[in-house]
Amino acid sequence: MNQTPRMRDARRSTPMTRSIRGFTLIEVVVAAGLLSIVGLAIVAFVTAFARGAGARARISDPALEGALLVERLRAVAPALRAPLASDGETAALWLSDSVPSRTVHLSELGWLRFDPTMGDIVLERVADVHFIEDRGLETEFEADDDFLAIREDSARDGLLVSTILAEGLDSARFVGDGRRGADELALELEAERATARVAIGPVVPEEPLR
Amino acid sequence: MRSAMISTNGRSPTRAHRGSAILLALVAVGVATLLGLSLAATRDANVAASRNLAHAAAARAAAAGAMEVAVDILEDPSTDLAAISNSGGVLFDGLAVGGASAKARVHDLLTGLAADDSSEVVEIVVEGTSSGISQTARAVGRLPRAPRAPTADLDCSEFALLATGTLVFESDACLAVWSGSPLAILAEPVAYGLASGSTAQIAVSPNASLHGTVALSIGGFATDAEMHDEHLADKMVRVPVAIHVPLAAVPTERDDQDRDSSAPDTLLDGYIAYDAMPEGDMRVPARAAATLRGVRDFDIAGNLRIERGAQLRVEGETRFVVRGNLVIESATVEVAAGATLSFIVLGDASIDGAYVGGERSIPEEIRDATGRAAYDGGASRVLVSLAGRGRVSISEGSVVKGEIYAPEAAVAVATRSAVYGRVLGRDIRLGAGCAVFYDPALDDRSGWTARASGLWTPTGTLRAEVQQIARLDGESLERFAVETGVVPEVSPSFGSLTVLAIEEIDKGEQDRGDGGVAGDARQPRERASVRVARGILRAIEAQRASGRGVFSRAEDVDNLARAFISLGFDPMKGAEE
Repeated sequence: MNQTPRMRDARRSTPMTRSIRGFTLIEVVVAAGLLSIVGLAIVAFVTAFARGAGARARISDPALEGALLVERLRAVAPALRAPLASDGETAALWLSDSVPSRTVHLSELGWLRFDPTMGDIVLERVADVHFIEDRGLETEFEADDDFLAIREDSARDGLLVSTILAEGLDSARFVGDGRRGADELALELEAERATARVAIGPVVPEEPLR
Repeated sequence: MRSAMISTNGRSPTRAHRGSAILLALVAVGVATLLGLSLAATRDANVAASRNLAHAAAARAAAAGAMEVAVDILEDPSTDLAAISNSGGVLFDGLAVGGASAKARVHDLLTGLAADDSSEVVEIVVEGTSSGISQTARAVGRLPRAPRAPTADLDCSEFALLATGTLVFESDACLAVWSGSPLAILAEPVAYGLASGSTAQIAVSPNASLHGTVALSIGGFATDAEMHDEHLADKMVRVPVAIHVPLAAVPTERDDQDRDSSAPDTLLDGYIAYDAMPEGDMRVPARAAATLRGVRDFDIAGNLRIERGAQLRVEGETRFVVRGNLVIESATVEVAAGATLSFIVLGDASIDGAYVGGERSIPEEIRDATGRAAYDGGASRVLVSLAGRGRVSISEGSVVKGEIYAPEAAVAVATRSAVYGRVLGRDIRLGAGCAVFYDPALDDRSGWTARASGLWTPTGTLRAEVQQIARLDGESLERFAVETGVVPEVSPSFGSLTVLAIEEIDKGEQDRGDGGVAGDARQPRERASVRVARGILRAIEAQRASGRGVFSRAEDVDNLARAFISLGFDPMKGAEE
């Protein structure tokens, strides 16, 4: 207890004493600056990720998908003439009168169908290559033929090719049977608990004459 | 002492590592910042998609609206197509439609060049643009005829198959449009039948494929689109009276002075730049390669035989008059772009396992009888005309891209052969697995099925002069032109055929010393063409002077042929991903 001033000065100057001293003001300021920058970066990252997720959810908006479906259908079948039949799950369409006859031929048929496993709506038709390989494949149909059964037969024979027109859907259902004199054929789409309805078919349908 | 040692090393180890910690921290901060900023910069896909859809809809509406404007302009007979051609096919540019703009171009479907006043079938391409997003709409159609002299198609080339006797489709026979033709996109029905309009002498196997075809029958023209559709659904094309089929032109008798008696038989091999009139046969030997250059005339007293493995290439306007038989066996006859080849045969014609047609742009095509063969100039480059009651046989997987005109002969297409073009004969038999793929470019809508053609009077009756055309020769065509003021039209490969009869007239003029050179086919042909044109002009002038409206037919355009067919829109351009 009886330390002389010399002894106190000696203890204060030992390395142990220096190691436990506090941070300087500059060190604290620099550390705070770095922490704030990192924090801001993390916040920006999280915010951007959240916005991206939200956007991806909203792109599955059924109204947008419906509009895109109509656009893609117009591109694939610019001369679409009329819907022919529907059972809610599948709709048969007369895509064109490319075999000039005002009647329906196999090469002119297409089927819109919802694929529940993939959440897609696809347009199916008989691949052109099959008509080249077999001239007898082309068939003319009457207006009141069962066009949905024709799809089943074609699918069973492995003739169909598909084009995706809409995706990311939870469910889809055709409304109206598309036959002559009936209400217009529409497609109800559901995604992310939202629904939309689009009309399928040209503004002025041209139905088969025979 | 220790302190001194440390100081000589510069820094202690602890002090040396403190700087690296700061660097690592800065790098981590930088990476995190970049990552965050890049993700933060990610656009809201919903906004982008909505923007794309909105501008795409505006561009689409602009293109669709401008397409209607373009169609209206082209359907106006006063539209100057030559001016459009001078502007590179641009019909209009910068047309404002709402907030978008539109540009329209017009191409000739057959040539791919800018449309001009000779164009008959065109494609309209309209591009609508809104904020960098563009949509391109396309439509095709036949132009309404400009007010010019009416024309009449007298060689019945609007029919894929026309028989004056019987017509037989065996099992798996196929009649369809040539999908490679630029005009196939018009989706017009393919016509066939008997000249009489009867269907009694047409035998069709249940397994024959006749989709998209219409049979000729006698009846009134369709007067509106609804009736036209009804006829189409009934698979009929109606004309008021039976078709008059002119006989093929007959070559003039051989002149003894021109005969090449030194060469009873002639071989064609290598480059040929001369004409020949052999007394005997002419042959292209097996595996030989012959190239015919310039305007060439061969008048063969005997047979023309193109033997197995031979290759004959035609580079100019070439005519073979074969007074015996034509035999082409497992050979290749190709006609270069801009050239034509006519076989005028008095005997039989036999084509076995051969290719005869335009020079193939796809050599691997070899002999494609599936209907997918490349167009290669179409069917108008080759004509096989039989002037007598002979027989035309196309067999053993042969492919002919051309026209067969044999009104008095039996024509048989057999053993997986195909004709890309058209066939006219007395009795036509399309064998099992054989096909005729019609080239719609042969139909210029001035024939029997076109109400507005020069074959019909303004009241819808057949011109009496049509029935008086006995043969498709220049003399008959000139007389028809003079008497009616109607321009007779035949396929380009008929050109050499129609001048045959006129050559005799010209020969007399040559004898009077007008500078003609014997053996040079070009000059008589040119004079003959001038003669026919002069006759037509005289006819038109005479009718003008008498006040008869030779152009009145132009007002009666074929309304049913005026509709343009929309091909829809190309994929959108300029949209953000």
